[in-house]
Amino acid sequence: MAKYAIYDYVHPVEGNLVKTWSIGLQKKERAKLNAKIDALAIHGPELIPGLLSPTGVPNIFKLKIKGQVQLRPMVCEGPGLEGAFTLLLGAIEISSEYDPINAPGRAANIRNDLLAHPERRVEHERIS
Amino acid sequence: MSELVDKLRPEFQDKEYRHAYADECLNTIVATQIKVLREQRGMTQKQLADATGMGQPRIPLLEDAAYQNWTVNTLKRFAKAFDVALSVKFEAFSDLIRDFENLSRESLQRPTFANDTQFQTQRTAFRRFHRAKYLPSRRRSRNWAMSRIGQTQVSNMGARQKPPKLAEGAAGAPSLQAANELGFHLAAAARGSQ
Repeated sequence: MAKYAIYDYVHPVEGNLVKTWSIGLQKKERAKLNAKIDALAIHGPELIPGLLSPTGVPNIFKLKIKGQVQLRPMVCEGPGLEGAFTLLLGAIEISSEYDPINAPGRAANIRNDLLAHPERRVEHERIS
Repeated sequence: MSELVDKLRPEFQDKEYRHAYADECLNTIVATQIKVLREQRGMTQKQLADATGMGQPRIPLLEDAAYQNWTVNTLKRFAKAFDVALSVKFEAFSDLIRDFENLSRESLQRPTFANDTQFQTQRTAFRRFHRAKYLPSRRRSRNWAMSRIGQTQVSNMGARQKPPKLAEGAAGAPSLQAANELGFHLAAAARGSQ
């Protein structure tokens, strides 16, 4: 089924950042988030228009999930792996501002950390 | 059984969850099919905006899987622009998930009416008439014999009697209307020669 592998970044102190962020979401938001992650895993970014959107920071993309809260988890391809995406950081967007502030920049730092420490990547932990 | 359905089975026991997930799948399928059909027809976003009577900035929005504010009336305008029928129906969750999982460019492409084989009866009749009038009888006999033994037919057009060129439809194929008009004229000519 899945063409692409999906991973989460695990911070050495704070643990799995995306998992912690997902637990705090409403059920409806988690459902929409999981649908997007499934779409990415099954089809990749080519077929579905707007599935992964650029953030302005090189190599960092956002999944766009619309609803009462605009979810914008930060994603990168790989890194260092073919046919894989890593969920780097959970974020939301309010009036074109990210929360946490500068989420794409932080995600870029996480990506660099992952390149240096590939062991800080685990298979995506789904929260339903 | 679908691997995705297996994964979703426990999650879908919750009504709010399954409806939210299904909404997202539907938005994804709609946006993707609009883009696939536009590209299948070789249209730019500007051309599609003109064909639907919408402002050009709306097309990229509707081609975005995150867009959720489309209406059936909007989709009807796209159906007319793509010359396909719009089908809105209620589905079992498993059917929607199967469609979502099997999404591909090929599965989303649709023929225009002009290329819809079920509606080509008049055109087919015209072709048969055209072939009978223009194909020299000796070559026709040879084609028939070769087709019986499974070989490719030779050209079915007489060299000296090229058919008039038909006007082209939007997809580059001869339009049905042009074919019908020509068929009418040829039929009238044939009746006159009898």
